[in-house]
Amino acid sequence: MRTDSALPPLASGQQVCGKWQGQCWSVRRTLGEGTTGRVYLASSAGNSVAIKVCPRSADAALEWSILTGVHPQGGPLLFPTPLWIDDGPPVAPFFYAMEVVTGQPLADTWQTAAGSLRQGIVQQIGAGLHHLHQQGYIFGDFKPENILVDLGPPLQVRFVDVGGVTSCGRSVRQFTPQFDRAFWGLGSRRAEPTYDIAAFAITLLILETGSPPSEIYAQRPEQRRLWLTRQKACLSQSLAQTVGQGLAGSVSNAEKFTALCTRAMTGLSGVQGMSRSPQATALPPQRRPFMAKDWTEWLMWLSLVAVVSVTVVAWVTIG
Amino acid sequence: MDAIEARVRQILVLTDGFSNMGEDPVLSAQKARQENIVVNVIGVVDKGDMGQRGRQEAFAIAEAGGGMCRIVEPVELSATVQMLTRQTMQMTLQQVVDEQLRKLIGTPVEAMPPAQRSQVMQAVDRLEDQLKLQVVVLVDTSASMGDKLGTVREAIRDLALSLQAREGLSEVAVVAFPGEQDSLVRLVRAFAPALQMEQLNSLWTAKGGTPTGPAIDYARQLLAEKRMHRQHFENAVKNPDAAIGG
Repeated sequence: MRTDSALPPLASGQQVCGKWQGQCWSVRRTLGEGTTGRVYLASSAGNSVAIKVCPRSADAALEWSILTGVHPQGGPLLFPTPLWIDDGPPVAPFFYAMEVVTGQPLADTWQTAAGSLRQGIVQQIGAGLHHLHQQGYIFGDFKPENILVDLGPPLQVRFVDVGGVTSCGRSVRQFTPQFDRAFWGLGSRRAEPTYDIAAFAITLLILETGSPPSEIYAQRPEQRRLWLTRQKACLSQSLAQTVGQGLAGSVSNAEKFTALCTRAMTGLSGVQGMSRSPQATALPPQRRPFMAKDWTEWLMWLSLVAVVSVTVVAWVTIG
Repeated sequence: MDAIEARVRQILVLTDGFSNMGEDPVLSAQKARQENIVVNVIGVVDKGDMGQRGRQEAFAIAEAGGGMCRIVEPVELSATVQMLTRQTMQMTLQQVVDEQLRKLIGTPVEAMPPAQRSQVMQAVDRLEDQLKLQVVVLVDTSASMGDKLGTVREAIRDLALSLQAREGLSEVAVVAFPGEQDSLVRLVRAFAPALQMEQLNSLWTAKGGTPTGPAIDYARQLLAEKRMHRQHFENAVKNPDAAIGG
């Protein structure tokens, strides 16, 4: 039995030959590295594919079955389209091939995307999650690295890495601590839509306010949650409230959560000045109707804009 | 498949050095393997390496114990603990399935075309969630582990959380080595499905060497007692007269 399952990375130009299909592919470059293996861009006769090479046959076989299982019939394209599975010893003992997904990781695109694009991204993520949940699966390892965004136009959001995809009701197969609600003491690791929604909420929080410090791993969940509270205080009040709801598991429908998020993001940049009173924002999110809050905020902005424009017009006309 | 009913038993060693007291841990791990117990080892290093000797020993223990070994930074500990537990559970199950398949159709899973193998794995994966699992976590509490014990505590709590979400019953016991006042080991927490965090608060460093071998032997003993208890119980259920008479 192997005690160290790491494989040396494949170099550009190396050939991966499938034992069952008899086809050879030439490795171009590494696309990513996951818990269970590496993904490479490979080509043959002008065609490009992404191949995931796993040291363990169980991982390749299981991921393949999930990938084919979640491949939509008619729904939106989420995960890469599965192509075939093969063995390529000795360089690629177990591998499967899939479509090459274009786009940049969410963390990179988020910083460059304008407000309306951000809303579009959030909307597509939510629609994707909702579709997945309706099929009876959850994403599990939801994190910015596993979401690829092609700003287009047209804007396209895709999910990669099926390693964490789990049938509802079971224990989540693979996750990343920061994005795992149980890490923060905010719920179980049972696969259910609220698990993904919590990860989605933490993702928004981290994208807007930054990652937690490494000391957090040695802390108890109660202490960890203080960090969440502090970070939420940096968000606009409406977004902080929505993120709070996502974390608390009080929204169990991904589309509904997305609608709340986009509404909270409308017309506001996510992050507000740090000068707000911490007491006011550190309070736990309150269950208040959203319409009322948004309406007042809108009114405030509207009147502000009106006052400014009236002043400007007055100046111009007087001048 | 009767064998599927069988529980998976694991020992997980968390250390940052090498043993220097009592039996050879590689030998102890070998014995464990003979008793169908898998031994996994995680070396916890804080910025740097655990040294050639510690590294070699860690891999040798896992090899002898039929398990896996990883050397990780504290930040990765929690995820690694869960990944190893899960992967070895899957491995144990796959060996059972392999055996059955070989008996039934004469080929191991790996000789099947990959698409078929994928279907077998799907079934294995479903069973994995339903398996009964017993894990003994052995925590090295020698002085150098001092500043890592907070992370270790959280990793154990986290493992218990993950296991609770499974369909099958999981039980975790925690043992510190060395123990206190010249004892080699100390039982921090006996087997139980739900974790009381307060019990882990007594995971502190102790004076003494690193008796990894004796700790593995102690864990084997814990697992054996658990098994005897269960067999006695099952015999009593199947055959009440005999159990009362004996």
